[in-house]
Amino acid sequence: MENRNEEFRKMKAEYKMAAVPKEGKNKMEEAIWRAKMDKKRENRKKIIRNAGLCAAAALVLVGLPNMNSDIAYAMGNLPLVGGLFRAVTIREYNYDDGNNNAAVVVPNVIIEDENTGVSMGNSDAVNTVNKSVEEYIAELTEEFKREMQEEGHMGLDVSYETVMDRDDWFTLKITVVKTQASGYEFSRFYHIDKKNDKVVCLKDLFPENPDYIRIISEEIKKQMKEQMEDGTCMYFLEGDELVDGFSEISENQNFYFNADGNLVIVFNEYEVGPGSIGAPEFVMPEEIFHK
Amino acid sequence: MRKNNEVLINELLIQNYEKYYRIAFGYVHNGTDAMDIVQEGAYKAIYHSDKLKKQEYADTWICRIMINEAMEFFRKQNVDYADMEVLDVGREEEYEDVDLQKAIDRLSPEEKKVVLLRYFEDMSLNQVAEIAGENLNTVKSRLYRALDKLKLSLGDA
Repeated sequence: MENRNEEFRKMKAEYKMAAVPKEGKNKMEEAIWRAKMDKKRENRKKIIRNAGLCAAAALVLVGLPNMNSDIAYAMGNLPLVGGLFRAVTIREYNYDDGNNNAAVVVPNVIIEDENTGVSMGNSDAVNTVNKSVEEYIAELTEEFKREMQEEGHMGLDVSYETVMDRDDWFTLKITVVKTQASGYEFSRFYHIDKKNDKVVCLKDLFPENPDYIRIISEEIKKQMKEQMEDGTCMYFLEGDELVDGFSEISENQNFYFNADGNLVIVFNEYEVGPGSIGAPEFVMPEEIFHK
Repeated sequence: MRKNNEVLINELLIQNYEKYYRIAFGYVHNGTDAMDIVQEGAYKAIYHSDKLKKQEYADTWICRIMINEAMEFFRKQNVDYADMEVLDVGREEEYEDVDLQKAIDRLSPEEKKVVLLRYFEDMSLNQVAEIAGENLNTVKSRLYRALDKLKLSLGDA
């Protein structure tokens, strides 16, 4: 035991004496600077990022009748608004000066006749989504141009994807990746209820349950804790004495329905955890609609 | 208040750089990796500085971030902690007392954290508990268990 303790004291002395490389400090200061720049940009951006279609007061939509978890409430029974929904690229913006680069596509949703493929003209909900998508991407592009001049080394990548296309439902996802030294990814989902020709936000899924924010947030926290205990992931959780962690989702948090018909809640990168976990998603159980 | 958080954390990072480096080194035993960890940890500490609630915990908070980064480092490499001594082959020159070093590396990440902070960084058990985000008694018993495994009798004072 005594030898062991002596060994320990020696080891500790070595530990204290261990040469600390100076270059590490320079690297660290570089990282500090990068973090400050990234943060400054993010703070400016928050306004753009959070004010989606669903947040606009003028567009508050009435709750959907009979909305339930598998969103198949009227499938095949009611006549459709008609036609085939499709997302198409209406404009592209590409820029590369060797220092800054942008690859931006602007989509629109169009409705075509199922048989002939002829455009049928757009519904109100489709027009609303298209307008919002175009405004959103125009804002991001303007921002890119401004930052490119002010700071340089900017990257912007905007892409889209049809997440779901069913007889009664259409979901378009816009994914944005902004880069300056480190990348930052965020996305926005647009949902169209085809039957009722409405744009659907998270709160519309719970027309009779004003408590949905709390219920969903509790479920997410439960899943976060499970994953943290597994050691698979790390989140910033509320209740931690050091960090202002996740407490609840926003009224119109991003979401989509996965192939199994489950509600999936989506966060942006850095919203609820360190960058290493990416943009986390949480699949809600069926019961979430019955609580 | 918010702006001060960032300034304060920046100052602490510069001032305590050696400590953060040593903590990281204590985990990875490799200078390059330790520097990467400190770099990444510093980035996160600044980026998320608004999330720090109480300024008196700033240093504690940074230590915790650095340790999380170090653990993340192993997770990314998919290294099972128990197999870590295998990694140390070839890096033995970094420490002379390999046996004890190996024994320390064989501790669970939680135990190792307590030993590193308490004995190598000379923190109080209270500070260690704050960094670990756990209560004092848990940390105490973990420390005793670890010392037992290391066959050390150092006491907790």
